Amino acid sequence: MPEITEPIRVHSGNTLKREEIVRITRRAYTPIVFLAGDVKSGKTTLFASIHDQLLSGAIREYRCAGSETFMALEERCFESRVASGSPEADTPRTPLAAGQEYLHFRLRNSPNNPFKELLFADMSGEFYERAVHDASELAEFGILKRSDFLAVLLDGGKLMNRGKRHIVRDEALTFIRRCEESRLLQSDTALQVLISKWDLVSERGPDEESGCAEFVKSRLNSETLKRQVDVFRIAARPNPSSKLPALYGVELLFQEWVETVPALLRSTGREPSGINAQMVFNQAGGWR
Amino acid sequence: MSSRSVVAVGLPNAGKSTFIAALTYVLKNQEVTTQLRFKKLPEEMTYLTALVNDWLDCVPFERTKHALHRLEFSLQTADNAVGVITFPDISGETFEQHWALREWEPDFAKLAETANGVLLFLNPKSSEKPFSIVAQKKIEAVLDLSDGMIDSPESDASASHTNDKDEVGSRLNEKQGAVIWDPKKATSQVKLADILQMLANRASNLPLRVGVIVSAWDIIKEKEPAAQPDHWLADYVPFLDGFLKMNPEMFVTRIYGVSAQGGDNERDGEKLRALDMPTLRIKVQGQDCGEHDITAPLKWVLRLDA
Repeated sequence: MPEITEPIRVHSGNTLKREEIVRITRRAYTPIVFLAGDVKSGKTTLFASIHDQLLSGAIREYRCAGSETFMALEERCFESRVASGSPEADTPRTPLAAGQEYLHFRLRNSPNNPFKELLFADMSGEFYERAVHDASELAEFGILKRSDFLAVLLDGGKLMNRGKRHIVRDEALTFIRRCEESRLLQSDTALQVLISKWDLVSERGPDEESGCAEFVKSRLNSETLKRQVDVFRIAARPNPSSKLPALYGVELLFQEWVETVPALLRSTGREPSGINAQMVFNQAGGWR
Repeated sequence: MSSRSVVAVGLPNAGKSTFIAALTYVLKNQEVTTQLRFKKLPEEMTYLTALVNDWLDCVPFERTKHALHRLEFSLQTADNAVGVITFPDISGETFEQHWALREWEPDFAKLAETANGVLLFLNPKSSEKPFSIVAQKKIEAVLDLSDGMIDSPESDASASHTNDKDEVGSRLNEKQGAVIWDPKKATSQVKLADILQMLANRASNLPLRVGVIVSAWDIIKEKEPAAQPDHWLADYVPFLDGFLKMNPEMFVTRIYGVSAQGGDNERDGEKLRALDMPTLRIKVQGQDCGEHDITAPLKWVLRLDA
């Protein structure tokens, strides 16, 4: 057998494409959180902040037990760190050309419990805008059919702008309806509306807080959408002047995402079967 | 004990070469009782001799230039089991390239498949949790500092973190335009976790024994005399600690605090050179270790304790 002299490629660590997530989803039940929202609404900051928090320890007792996308997660956190040289914490914008891409977390809350896998489906906010204007753009959102959660992010900063707030809410409503009409949003996909950058709302005081939440709920509700809608207030990376802690509102969501059970099992009350390391590493087509 | 191999993993300046120099000296000279010793000296010792001489003279090593410097030790345990240990010295820059370029040399891939264990080297000074801009601004606000020349809260907590004001300042001043991502600037803990999960993916026998060597342990002990290696890792390198703890199917871990040189070459060189028994410079703290027995972690990761 000839000796191998060429370098051996290992997994890239970058975001995954749809065909690549199959090797994760076939191993074990893997919730997919489909993130949708306007450009700069905080989609990337959401999972980047989760990665950053895991660097310091745990979220709701879950610790990082691995990832196929460590490189991508580090890249998305980079501009929020002093080491980047950036004067302000920022998150790189997901480019339109990247299409739909996936970020992976493997988590565990005890070495005695099964691993929990979690995938975030991320895409440029420009796709969201296009889909609002043109239903044919929804072709890009095929993975939504398989997603456990549709999390639509509404920029709290824009909701504080009297001129823009109606547009933000109306676009979200249009997007959700388009997803339903095109049968991408399944009945067992949980619909979550996340008011992001809640620190910008919170700093205006309690009246603005309740006013903002009510404004969103007045249209994005189960009566209007004919399905359950949960509204969350989040501030993944609050401004330095804010009194809100990092990951405000995100920890609860994170736990819900991680601990969700497949729709088929919900009625039975059974836990999904976990995976063990032998399954992970002995399976052909793994991470190599 | 037959033929076994260990992978020594570490990013640049993690202390691998100092460890190998001290280990070689101890195996050869047997100034104190240790768990391993040379059965026979290595045939080729040019590289090792240069390392040991620099270690004895307390001068900085020439950086490891080769991607993989193959070392073979013929060792003997106290109960006279003998065998050949392959213990390559792999430069920290090579591991940086593995992370950034996502390529392994075929020799390294072969080693990963056959390795019996891993020695994972950590430099406390460069294993820090990343310092966020938000955290910095919060501290600036509290201290009413406007120039941003401050330390991270983590950096104050122990010797494990960057606390060079000028360094932080220069990094801020680098900002002239768009921020450019460089994989080498990723968090050290994440790089190491990624290397470990790739090693486990290649390994033929799981779980791998991983001996985490916290280098320059003397610096930590100066600041925290009661410091314990496992507690230190949990407190200051929590991501890697959690990653190892949450993967017992892949890794069985022990944490060692090792001061292979015994102090700072410049500050303590005179004192260290004055010791008649250079082995006494070495300080090792961890499970089943003699105070100066730098061979103990190697013996454990190679499963020679069974």
